[in-house]
Amino acid sequence: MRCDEIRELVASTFIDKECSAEERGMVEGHLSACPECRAFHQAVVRTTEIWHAAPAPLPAPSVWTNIQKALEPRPSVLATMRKMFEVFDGRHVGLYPRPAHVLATLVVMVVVGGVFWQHQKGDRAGNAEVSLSTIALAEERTVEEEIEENGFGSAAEQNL
Amino acid sequence: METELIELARNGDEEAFRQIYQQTSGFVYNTARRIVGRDEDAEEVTQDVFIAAHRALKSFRGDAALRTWLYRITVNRALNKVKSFKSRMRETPYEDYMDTPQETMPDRNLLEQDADARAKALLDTLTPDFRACIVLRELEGLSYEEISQSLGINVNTVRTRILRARRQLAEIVKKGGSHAL
Repeated sequence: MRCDEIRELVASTFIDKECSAEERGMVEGHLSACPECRAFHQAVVRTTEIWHAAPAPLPAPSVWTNIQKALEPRPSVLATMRKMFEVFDGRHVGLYPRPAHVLATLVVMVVVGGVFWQHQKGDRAGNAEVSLSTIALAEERTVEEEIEENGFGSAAEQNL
Repeated sequence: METELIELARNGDEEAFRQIYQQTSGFVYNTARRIVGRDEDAEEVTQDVFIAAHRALKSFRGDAALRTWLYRITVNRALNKVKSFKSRMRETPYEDYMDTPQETMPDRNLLEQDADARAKALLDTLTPDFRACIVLRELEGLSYEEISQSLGINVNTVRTRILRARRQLAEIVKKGGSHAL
């Protein structure tokens, strides 16, 4: 048999101990006479020894923990929504805010804030009108006074 | 025993599923570890395998052994994981493995670490498909027929892949010189 045929047997049925007695005899006879094929056989054996020596560790405990978490039954959508909108749970109101409490508080703050802002806006507009009127009155008196001081007579006489 | 456990687990018995995990997680993890090459990736694959197995228990017909079924899921998930980060994998020349930083096993002695590193360096030289066949044959001790069932390929294809992988590895070990021996 040629070397490549011997090596094929060595790497398959011979190393797996599945070859016939005749095949075994042929391979062993060739190996005793061929140093290259003998080196190949020794390398195959050495590879097998490496596999046998390799350790087989167990997975970390966290693997099982993660599997359990992933397999936990998930609550239904209805149950989740019911939990979110639980409002009247008197035992816990003081301990932590429910989402509904927070939402209600925010709505109240927005409404109150809006009313306050509108009120403030109205006051500022009114104040602006008063200021303008005061300036206008002040200007009118100044003009009239100016006319009288300059001797042009009263504003009424001037038809102003 | 196995049939009873499967039946109980299929009906929602969590203790039965935990026992299945205890009996099978070792080979699932090691198969995944040898194919993907990294402990953390192997843990992810192991988790995926058992989550998938738990969900698919109802459809497990029992026509194959539980081990063969789990091997099949494990190899599929591991090969998918390898494909997802193929750019990270590099072939480590076996003769250079001593210079390449290897993942250490802090709770193992030096001899075991060395043996682990040698095995990893050799497996890293193989393509994922060849690697899966060698892992199942040489490390897990499956027969050619069992490997054929686990991988869903023809038994002659299994023999061819293992033959080629062994020839490739033998050449590498020969070149490895004193490191190999």
